[in-house]
Amino acid sequence: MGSGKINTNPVISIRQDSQRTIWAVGGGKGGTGKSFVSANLAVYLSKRNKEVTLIDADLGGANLHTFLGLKKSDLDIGDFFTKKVPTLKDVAVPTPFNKLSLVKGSDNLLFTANLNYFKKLKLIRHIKTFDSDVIIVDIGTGSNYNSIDFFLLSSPGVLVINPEPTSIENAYYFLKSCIIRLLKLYIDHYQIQDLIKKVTEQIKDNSRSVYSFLSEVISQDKYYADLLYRALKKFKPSLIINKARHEKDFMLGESISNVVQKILVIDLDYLGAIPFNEMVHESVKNLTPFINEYQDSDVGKALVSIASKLLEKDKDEKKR
Amino acid sequence: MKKRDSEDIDLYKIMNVSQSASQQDIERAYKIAQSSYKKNSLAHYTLMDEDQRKKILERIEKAYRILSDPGKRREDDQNKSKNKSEVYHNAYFRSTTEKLFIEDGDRTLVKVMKNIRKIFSSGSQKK
Repeated sequence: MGSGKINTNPVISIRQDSQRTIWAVGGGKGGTGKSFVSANLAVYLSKRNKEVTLIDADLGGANLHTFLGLKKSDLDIGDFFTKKVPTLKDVAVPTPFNKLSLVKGSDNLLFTANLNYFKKLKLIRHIKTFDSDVIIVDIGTGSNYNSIDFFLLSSPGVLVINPEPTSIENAYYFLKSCIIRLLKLYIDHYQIQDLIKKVTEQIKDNSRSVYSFLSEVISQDKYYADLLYRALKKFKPSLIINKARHEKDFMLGESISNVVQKILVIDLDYLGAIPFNEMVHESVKNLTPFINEYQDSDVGKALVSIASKLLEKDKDEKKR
Repeated sequence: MKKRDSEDIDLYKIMNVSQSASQQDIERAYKIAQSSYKKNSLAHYTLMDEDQRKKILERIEKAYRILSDPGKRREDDQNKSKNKSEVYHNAYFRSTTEKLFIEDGDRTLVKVMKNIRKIFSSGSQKK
């Protein structure tokens, strides 16, 4: 057995704090519509009288302010990192929407795109301090440690993908990276590196799955196997298919959930598909949130349905 | 009583339906599963190789053949409740190992169950 907990890992402690509603919106690939979904969910919820904080953690590609029709503001997340302000709350700015505040991303690309470990931890801790009803974090693209850790800290993480091979491939890569990162965090936290080394030596099959890994752990130590299994089962990301055009695109989400559960062990909740609609492009060009003007459209209804499912899922998670 | 193959322990889990699933639920689940694992489906793109895909599809087909036939389904349910004590030692392992391995289908299940029996027979329990 490992020697037990020594350090308090912030990602694990945040995941154990079930009272915060933090939705991290990610997806691996760029251009899938993460910022569109983040901004419109935030606007919709604020119109439903929820206090919402929208955080642009797309470090190196900040544009949430554009979706809300805001120009560059005096303060952004970079000012928090450079200690111009003491807390992240100090850079939250009001928006044209009542009850919605925005932490704008930085345009200092070189600095914020390459956040070091301690700054990332500081950001995660400060995100947790907002006492809004809902905190939505747009984590941007890629499967780097920053994006993965922001995704893991939320409950649930929301994956936005398009019904295309490249987007799906990147999404799976992102999920696998999250799983590896989550397992590693727990392995380091409980100091069971020796156990895992023994396990990986036992696994000879090159196409080892998450199941194969866990089965070897259980053969060595059922206590930690159960712990790792439960950690994986607590990781319950959600899935949105954006820009769906054909009937099979709308059905793809359930298929992906099915496959992910069998191969990656985790439960991926399919929230729904957002239809492709040219008006989305127009609303972005006009710097207005789509849902503000077109809530009754097919895209608007899909967003409303997704928001309701996310709130319901959050309520269920808190009851556990 | 037929000895169950470890790969076929829970057909409901393979089909991703509950034990109380109606015929309609099973048909729907079968449709989704076929769509998920058919050759050119995007759902499994890069996540598994061709052999794994075929294996999963075979098991789904087998599960569907049984569950879609009311007589065979009834027989399977009866066999499963009789076999419970044979396959599992206690509820803890049923909840953990069943969920871990029920759809894995590879030979490690046999090895793991041997190890679990060893733990019980030696009387040692870790905290």
